[in-house]
This record gives sequence, C-alpha cells and structure tokens, in this order.
Amino acid sequence: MAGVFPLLGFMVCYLLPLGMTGCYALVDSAFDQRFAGLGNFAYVAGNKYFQLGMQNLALLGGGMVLAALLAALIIAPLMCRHPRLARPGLAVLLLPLLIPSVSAVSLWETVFNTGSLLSPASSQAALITLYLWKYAGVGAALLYTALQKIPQGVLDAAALDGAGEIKTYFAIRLPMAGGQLAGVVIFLLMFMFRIYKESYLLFGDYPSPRVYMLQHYMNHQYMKMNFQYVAACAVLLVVFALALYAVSFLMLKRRRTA
Amino acid sequence: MKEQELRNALDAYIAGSHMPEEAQERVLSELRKEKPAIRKKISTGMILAFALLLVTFTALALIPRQAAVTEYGLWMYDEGKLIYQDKESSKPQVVLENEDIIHIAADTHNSGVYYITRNSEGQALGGVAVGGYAIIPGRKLGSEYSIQKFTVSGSLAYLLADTPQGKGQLWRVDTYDETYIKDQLLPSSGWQNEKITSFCIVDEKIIYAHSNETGLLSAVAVYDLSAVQEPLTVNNIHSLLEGYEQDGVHYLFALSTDETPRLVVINTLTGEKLDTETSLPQGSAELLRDRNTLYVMNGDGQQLASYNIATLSGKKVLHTLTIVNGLIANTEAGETAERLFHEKYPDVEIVHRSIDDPRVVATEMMANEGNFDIVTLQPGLVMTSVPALLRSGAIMDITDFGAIQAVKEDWRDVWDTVSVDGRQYGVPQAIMPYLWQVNENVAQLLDWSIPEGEWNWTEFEQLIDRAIAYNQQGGQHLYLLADSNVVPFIIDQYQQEFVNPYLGTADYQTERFQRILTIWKRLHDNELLYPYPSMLASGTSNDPQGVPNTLLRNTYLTLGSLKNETFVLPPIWDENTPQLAIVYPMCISGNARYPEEAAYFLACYASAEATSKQYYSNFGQWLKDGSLYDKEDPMGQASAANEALWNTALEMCEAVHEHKDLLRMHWRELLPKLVAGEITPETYMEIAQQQADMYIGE
Repeated sequence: MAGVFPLLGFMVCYLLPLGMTGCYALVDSAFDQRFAGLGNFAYVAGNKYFQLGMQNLALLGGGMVLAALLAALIIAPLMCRHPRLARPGLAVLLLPLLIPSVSAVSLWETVFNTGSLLSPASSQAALITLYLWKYAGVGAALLYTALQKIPQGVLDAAALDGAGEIKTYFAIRLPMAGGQLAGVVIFLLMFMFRIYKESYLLFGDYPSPRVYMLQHYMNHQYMKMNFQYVAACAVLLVVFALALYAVSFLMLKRRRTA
Repeated sequence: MKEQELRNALDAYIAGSHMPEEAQERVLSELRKEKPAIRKKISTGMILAFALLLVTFTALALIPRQAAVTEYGLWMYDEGKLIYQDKESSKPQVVLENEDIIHIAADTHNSGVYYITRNSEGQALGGVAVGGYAIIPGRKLGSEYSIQKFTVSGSLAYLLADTPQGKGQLWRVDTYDETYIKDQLLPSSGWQNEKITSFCIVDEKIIYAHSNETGLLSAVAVYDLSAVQEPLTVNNIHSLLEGYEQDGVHYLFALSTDETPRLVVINTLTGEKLDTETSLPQGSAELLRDRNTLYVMNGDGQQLASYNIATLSGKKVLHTLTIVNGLIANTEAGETAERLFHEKYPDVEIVHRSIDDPRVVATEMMANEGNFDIVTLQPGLVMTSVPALLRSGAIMDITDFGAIQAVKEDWRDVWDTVSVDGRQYGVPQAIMPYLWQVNENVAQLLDWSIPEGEWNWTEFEQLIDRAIAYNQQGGQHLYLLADSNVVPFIIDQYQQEFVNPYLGTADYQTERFQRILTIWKRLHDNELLYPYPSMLASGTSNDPQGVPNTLLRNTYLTLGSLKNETFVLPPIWDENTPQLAIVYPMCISGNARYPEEAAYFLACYASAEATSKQYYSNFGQWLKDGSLYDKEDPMGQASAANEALWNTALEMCEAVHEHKDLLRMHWRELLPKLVAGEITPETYMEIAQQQADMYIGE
C-alpha cells in the first residue's frame, strides 16, 4: 500500500505528461489537431537543425561527460590518498552545484567572449569548461564515496602482494567500484541533458551552429508555436536519453554478473 | 471573605492569638491566592498589551481601506499601500506607498487609478498607472472640501463633498489643473445639488445623483450640466452604479438600505426600483464594476461576491467571445463594433483580457484553454514574427471570410499592413507609418531640396557626400540621420523584402545588402549618425528628445503629432521597396472556439461605421470617404501637407515584422563589429545568412 502513492505520483507527474506529449506529437498542429501519424517525427528527424542539435548534443555532451569522468577519476583517488583534505575537498567540489548558473555565467561570458557568433570554438570551450566546473566535482565526490567503501583489508592484501598505488587503483579499486562508477556516468549524463540552461544563458537564442543544442531547436519551435515539433522532439529526446541510460545500466549489469 | 476581615485574622495570627483551625486554613488559602509582585506586573503588562492591541486594531480599522476596479484589475488601498491586483496575475503588486490617501477611483480608460490625499499641507489629487508612473501631474484641491466620494470621467473628476457652501454637493474639477476648467459646483438647475448621498456617471454623458434624505434621483448632462429630466423619487438606496442599457433605457445598480441589503436595479426613466432577486453576502456595502462583472464589496474594500452583469440584466448569454490585448475596450470604435456585432449575435458576450507576458499568450493559444478568440498582436507582445505565426497556424488566414472582405470596399488600400504574400491575417487596430522628420535649417545648410514625393537611396548616398563635404569645411558638425531603432530602418526595410518566414525565404547575400552595409558604415565612419545615448540606442521607442544639427530623424508618430513639422517619406530602392509602419493587427487565434463569430466581430470593427469613430488624429484616414470622420480632435492636428503625406504613406506601407530571432545578431554583434571595422560586409552577410537559415529552416 505504501508504494501506491509514489507510483501514483510518478504516473501523474511523469507518465501522464509524457503520454500527452506523445499525443501532441501525433497531430499536425496544436491549432488544427488533425492526426498526422508519424509525420512530425519524420519532419523533425529530417530537419537539418534537429540533426545539428542532436549531433552537438552527442558530441559536445559526450565530450563533457568523458572530460568530467576523467576529472573524477583523477580527483577521487587523490582525495583517498590525502584523507585530511577529503572533507574540505568535498565541500569545494560540491560548491559549484549550489551556485546558481546565472552567477557563474557572467564570468564565462567575459573570459570566453561567448556572445560572439564569430568565435564558435571558444563557445564550445566555454560550455565544456562550465560543465566541468559545475558537475565534475559531483562525479568526483560520488566516486570518492564509492572508493572509500572498499574494505581496507583488500587494499592491504594487494599492497602485500606488491601492487603499487596505480595498479591497485585500476586493477582493484575501480573494478570493485564499477557499479558506482556506472552510477556516476548516469548522473553525468543526466547533467549533460540539463546543460542547455547554461548554454541558453551563455549564447541566448540562435547561437553559433557549433553550440546549437537540441533544446535550442525545441525552444525555437515553441516560440514559433509549432508545438507538434516540440512534442516530437521531446519524445525523441526521451528515447535517446532512455537508450543512453539503458546502455549504462546494461554495462553495469554485465559487470556485476562478471 | 472580605479583605478587612482577612487582614484582621492575619494580624491576630501574627500576634499569636488563637485562631480557629478553620479560620487559619481560610487565611492560608487566601494568602496562597495572593499574587506575588512579579506576577502582578506581568498581568498588568498583559492587560496593557491587550489594550494596546485593541487600540491598534481599532486604529487600523479606521485607516481607509478602499477598492476600485478597472477593466483589467482591482486596485486596493490598505495600510498606506496602493496595491494593484491584475486579473491575469496571481500576485498583487504594491504600486505606491502613501499614508495620506483617503479616496481612490478607477481610471476607466486605462488600468490606472486616481487618488486623493489629505495631510497637513492640504488635499491633492493624483493618479498613477500600474507601472508606477504618474498619469497626471497632480494638483491641489481646496481644503474646504470634506470629500465623501469621487469619480473620474474623461479628464474631469467629480467630487461628492461637504463644504461651507453646503452638504453633499457635487463638484467638478479638472484632473490636471485649473487653467482651462475652473473648479465648479454643479449648478442646481432643474435639480437639487445638495444632500447627495451617492452618484455615478453613465457613458461619460449623464451624471445620476441620489439623495437618501430627499429620495430624489436626478439626471444631469455632463455636457452642459443641465438636468436631463425631472428628478425621480427612489427611496432607500445607496452605492449607485452604472448598470446597463436595455431598449434605450439606462438602468442603474444600487444597494437597498433595507434591513437585509439587496441588489436593486433602477429604471432611470421611471424611477422604478427592481429587485434582482440576488442574495447578497452579509456586510455588503459598496458596488464596483468593470465591463462584464459587478463586484460587491464590504466596508473594508474587500470583494465579497461578483455577478455577471449580462445575466443580471436578464440577458441570455450563450457563450463569450474573448478579445485579448484588444486595446479597443472603452473606445468609441470598439463600442460601435460591439453594438453592430450584437445585432447579429445578441447572446454572445464580449470579454476583454489583457496579458502582458508573450509566453503566456503563446502558451494559452497553443493549449486551447478556451479564452482566446481574437488577439491583437502588439509589437513586443508576440513570441515571434507575425508571418511565422501565420505559417504555424497560430493565427488564422482570414482571406476567405466573406464578412471581412465585404467591408474592404469602404477602405483605402491599406491591407498590405495586415497581409503576407497576399494572405490576410487580421484587421488593423493601429497603423503608424515611419516618416523622416527634416530639420529645414540643416537642409538649407546642405543646400538640399527636400523631396516632395518618393526618393531613393542613391539620392541619400549623394546626400552623404554632401554632408561629408560640408563637414570638411570645419564649421558646425552636422549629422545626417538620427535612427534610434534597434535594427536600423535601412536593414528593417531590406528584411521586409528579403526575409519572409511565411514563405520560408531569407537572403542576405545580395548586392543590395552589401550596399546597405556600405552606406551604414560610411554614415558611421563620417560621424553622420546622430549619437544617441546608449540607453536610447538599445531601446525600441522613438526618440523622445530633440536631435540637434541633424538633417533627418527616423520616426513613427501619431498623425496629430506631426503638426507643422517637415516630414518626408523614407527613401526606397525601387518600386518594390515597401514603406514601413508599426501595425497592431487584430487576428483570430488558430484555436478560436467561434472563428465565424470572431471574423464577424473583426468585420464589425472594420466596418465604416466603427472605423469612422477611430481617432483621426491618431491613425489618419483609413476609409475612402474622409468626410465620415469627425476630425475635430482636441489632441492636435497635422498640417494639410503632413496629413496628405501620412495618408500617402498609409497606402504604401507594410507592417514591419520584427524578427526578434535575428535581432541579437544585428544589434549586439554584427553591426557594432562592422562599424568598428572588425568584420567586413562579406563576413556580415555570411553570418547573417547562416543565422537566418537557422531561423527559417528549423
């Protein structure tokens, strides 16, 4: 019985809106509401700027997640090695998450000249570094917590067997924290989908094509009152996100089985 | 036990005398009841605090709390704050803090409010808009008025006041000052201007005043302040309020002063008092209204109940037709349109809404929430350009609505202002063509013959040469053009021709655009552009200040504002180049519930009968027959030459479609970099094309 309310909440807050969005994606406009089949999906999928948004989301997002993961993989063991610094370190790492993006964006605007359509490379750099600053620390903190849970006895045994710190890290610690690592990846992916807020703050509407994200496409279609395309995009985005999460989950499951 | 007995017993006890055991117990019991000093202080303090609270609440209750209703919201005055609650918003906003306000009255034409203050310096009348700015300069009122109520009609305020001259008299004062209209006690000719207890003004034409003491209801013409008819006898009413019109007779609302307050309707022809059979909540003390709703308030200015006026009038309401951001409520043209509309659809009630946030407009239009039939697309209150809305189906293509097409016969050819590619999407609510104001002194210095009709950009380029040559002589530096638009007029004009979201076309890579950029850079490099302060340059409004030593000023104004100044049409490239105008189109929402009725309303609004009621000095002559207009507008008149120029521009212009999506590109980056020499025109064109493709191609 206790589980009914969360389930009900999930259905009302997530499944129902998603279902309604799915319905909107099947009509030819919010004004005409004639059944359009998969026409909107076909239009959106074939649209040059939707493809550009997806491409940038995949490439930029992939780059962001990899860079943040790499940063986490470096920072977490350093914190394990220096336990005295771990507590203040955690605070420092998590602090950016608490700072509103709006406050940080002005600094990035100044440093990277993000307002310019003429410097797309620096725009990309601005977005990636902003993501790293904000979310890499969270990944490192999560990974550090996972590494701390590894029994000291295992690490001592490895040391007795002559394994160095680096070897212990890659051969023992990371494999043992594999599940949590996959969790970190899922978190970072989740944050990747949210980076549009910062992107919008940095570049506004109609940015340089290099930082044009899928959400720009959706936002512009909303402004133009093409709600059917917004809905189709949202459905596709959900499918894309679920696929990414599923891959991460399967990898985690396979590792656990192994 | 009495206190003295207790004391005696206590003394005896202390003195060691023998007391009966029972008496000792009673003494001790009483002693235990006695409060220690500290507890006494606390209890005294509590009593004082309670008394203070009582006094405070009483004082607060005496602070005037008032309310006034406008078309789009409710004004309240409470605890020294003038608060506005927009009907479309969940949050009230404090607009003004002033402890001295004693009365407020709604501004029926706008959303503002008038107020009367009283302090040691005397009494004053002020007015404030929702945005917090003053709508009148504020004026002193005589300290002899002991004002009970006031209302504002047009630019005049009517005070119900006691003065040394009499009790309960109606006075009329100008809301600005006494320069033109002196404060005046309404003359008692054919009626008695005394012992009035409530009054209201109907249609800005007739004042109805009622005295509970005499039971007389008088009707006085606003125009000449003479009695319209013999006073009627109507007893036991108060809070008189404009009601409705039925079969040519005005009916007024009022509250009866019977034991149980009732809402009554007064027939102003017969004086008959009709019970609406509406049960009012306890504490009903005052009536307020907007166009469609009657509000019953309590003595503290809090709303107790509301009623649909059409229903109270016994009218059958089938459904409502909602007009959003129409700007026509309370205008003569709008009211004429409503009257014509009701001849065909008597059961349809017209409701006006005002929504400030374009995101709300867009969301409600898409969500089909059912309160969105007609919408006026005010520049700045739309999400994207109008052609893009037409393309997405957000606004209807009304080209094939017969009723609208029929009224076009009476109009001059101004329909390009509400059409894209031959498809009509609305009827104009306002058209303000761009004209260029000429400084004749500068024209003389440059030896420039002011063109009387069309002229072109090549001639403008020659003018640049002329200005450069003049400035090289080293005298007073002259500017050629003052253009405070965010995107310069010359680029707007180009975009109008070459960027079309409805057709899905955009072309910046043309020789003409390159030439435009060259012209703009030349103007800048030779300091021929009037240097507006940066705040103005980033705004969208006209230049509010003079622009000295400048030949031409790009502007759009109302016709009356042109007066005797010299204006020319902006230059063109060829016969296909459009003139531009700021246009407010009234459109039908793509989700309108009753598109046929909405189209019919637009046809009524565009009819010659309603259009001829438009302020001529604002919008000029839209109808072919100019004699239909009442041109005697006190707001100001243009010279005959300017009137002719304006009317010519009307037929030549198209609505400038603000491409918000491309605005940032031009304004924030490309134009500044072009004039700074950081990019070439070619780079500008390339980036502009890239961004426009994105905008068009999504």
